Amino acid sequence: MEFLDNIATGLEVALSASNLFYCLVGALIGTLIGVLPGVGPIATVAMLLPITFYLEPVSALIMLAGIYYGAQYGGSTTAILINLPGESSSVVTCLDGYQMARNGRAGAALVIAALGSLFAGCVATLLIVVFAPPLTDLALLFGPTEYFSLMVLGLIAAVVLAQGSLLKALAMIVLGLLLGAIGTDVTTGAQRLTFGLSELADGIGFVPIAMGLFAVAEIVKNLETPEGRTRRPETIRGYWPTRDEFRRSWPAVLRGTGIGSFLGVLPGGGALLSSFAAYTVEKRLSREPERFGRGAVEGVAAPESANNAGAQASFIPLLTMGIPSNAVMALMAGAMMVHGVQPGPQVMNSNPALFWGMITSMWIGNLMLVIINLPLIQIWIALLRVPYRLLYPAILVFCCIGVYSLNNSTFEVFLMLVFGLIGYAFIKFECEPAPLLLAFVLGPHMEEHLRRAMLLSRGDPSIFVREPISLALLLLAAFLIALVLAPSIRRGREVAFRE
Amino acid sequence: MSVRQLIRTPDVGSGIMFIAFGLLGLSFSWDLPTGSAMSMGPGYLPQMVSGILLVFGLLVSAVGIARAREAVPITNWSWSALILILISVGAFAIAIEPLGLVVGIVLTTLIAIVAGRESRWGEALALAAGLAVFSVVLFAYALGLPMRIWPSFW
Repeated sequence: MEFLDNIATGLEVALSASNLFYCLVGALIGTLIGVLPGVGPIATVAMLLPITFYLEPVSALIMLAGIYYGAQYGGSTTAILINLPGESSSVVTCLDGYQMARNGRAGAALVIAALGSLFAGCVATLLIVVFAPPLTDLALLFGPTEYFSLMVLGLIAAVVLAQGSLLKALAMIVLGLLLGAIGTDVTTGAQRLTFGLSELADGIGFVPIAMGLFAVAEIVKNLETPEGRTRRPETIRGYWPTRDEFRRSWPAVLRGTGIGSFLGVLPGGGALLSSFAAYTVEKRLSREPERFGRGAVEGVAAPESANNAGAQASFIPLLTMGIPSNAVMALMAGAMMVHGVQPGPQVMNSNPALFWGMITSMWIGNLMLVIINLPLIQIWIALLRVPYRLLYPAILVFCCIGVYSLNNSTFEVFLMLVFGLIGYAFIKFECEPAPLLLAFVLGPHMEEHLRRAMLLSRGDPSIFVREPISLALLLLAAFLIALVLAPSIRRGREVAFRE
Repeated sequence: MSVRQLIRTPDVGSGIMFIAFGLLGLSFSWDLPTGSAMSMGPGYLPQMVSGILLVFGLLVSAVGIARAREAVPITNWSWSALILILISVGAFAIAIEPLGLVVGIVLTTLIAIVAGRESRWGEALALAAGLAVFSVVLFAYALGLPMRIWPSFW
């Protein structure tokens, strides 16, 4: 059976000693940095990208994926123990997780979160295995016209489901496309927007942009508010959840997994939206909604399962169609390109070992997370006490070394500096940087497809609405924008994000 | 609300920023051949995208002006932290090639610590030394990155 063959191919790669090692290292480093206050998964992955460039492509991607879900997991630990979400997708875990900890059920909350995440991660990975081949076959049928429209839809969907002003997010996309156009034009060899700098002939590097926007700018923002005294984590008494907690959790885990797997596939969805939606659903369905916010175990189980399922499922659009659905996936896409692997439908056929190896490693990685994290919890708690004033200089130093080491180029370090400045302006102006990064990654491919489509249609732009698949994709994009503009839904969206 | 306050609101401020990037893009791609839709020249996409960005900048500003009543000007820019952090990154870039990794790390760490205004000097020096040792061992020896470690005149 093809399905089992694929898994076997993957396991062979993922279970090799070196890849097991990189998976473990990735999950450990991810968790370690995830529990450190003020460092989210995007900054973590951006900071560690350069290190992985020295590995084999498969090992690098396995390690990066491990870092991603490790950081995700570490964020939940801090949410439960000190009411401080490591990243936005564990904000809702704070609500009931921290209350459970204050009721002396910290251990149970951590175990439920870990087991829920493990289950959700396994299910979502299985979904990737099942749906990747048909989606890939579909994507292979796409010509340049369909591809261009698909990318338009991907970018639009990513901003529609994100927070904040739609208009600004669209402007950020356009700015990302403009930045992506910098460098030598592939077709004619002309220098574009290089400001006469020979260092820009190959375009702006992906790593300096990501680090500048997500690491450097974030540090300046965090320095605005003086650090309070570090909070004492709640003590852990006993790990094992009670029979009643188990009984309440498992349906919540199932629902959370379902919601996360579905929303994760959508562009712009991923972990954040999944956890919010799962919490809301759980509260609506509960017969005693008043328990929520006071330490309801379902309020931990559902969002934790959902954010892990969402995190895994967001790999589907990237691996099958080459469309990154959020900022972390854009970083993964960038990492693949650095290794000479163009994300998209051809990966599965041309490089099956890499494709299936990476996917099956997610199972192993999720299992490792549970095994390493519960016994090591005391170490993570100790790390929670590291003050930010010692952390940010270290982050800055690692970013500088990382960017410089890519090409031994001081120019790229200066680029990171410039994007740190721009990124801080974005934060102040309330502009989300993620759409910019998505557009920057997709931009050159969009231009390529646009050029080919226009060549085929002899310069007639109506080709995009005459081809049925392309028309459907564009209509869907228009529909999504209309949805956000409809006043009733806009209000609902604001409420959903505030809750 | 005065014009000075207005340009400091997130909406109008970002609108002006988008307009500036759009104009920058247009001015630098102006001389590139545009070509036609069927065979696009190198200037086609940059000019189109810059133009769209300009339009979005105007729209964002217009919305910002229309909603000026409810907008709050940004006041809490932390200029000192921003400038010091940027200098600390710049210091690394300038120091790494002539002076090497160790000096670069120490400079970056110490300047960054001044930006935070919360650390004592003893702590700062210990952190700088620790980061330097750790990075040299990890990056230069374990990962074998080709970098200068000590100043060239040593």
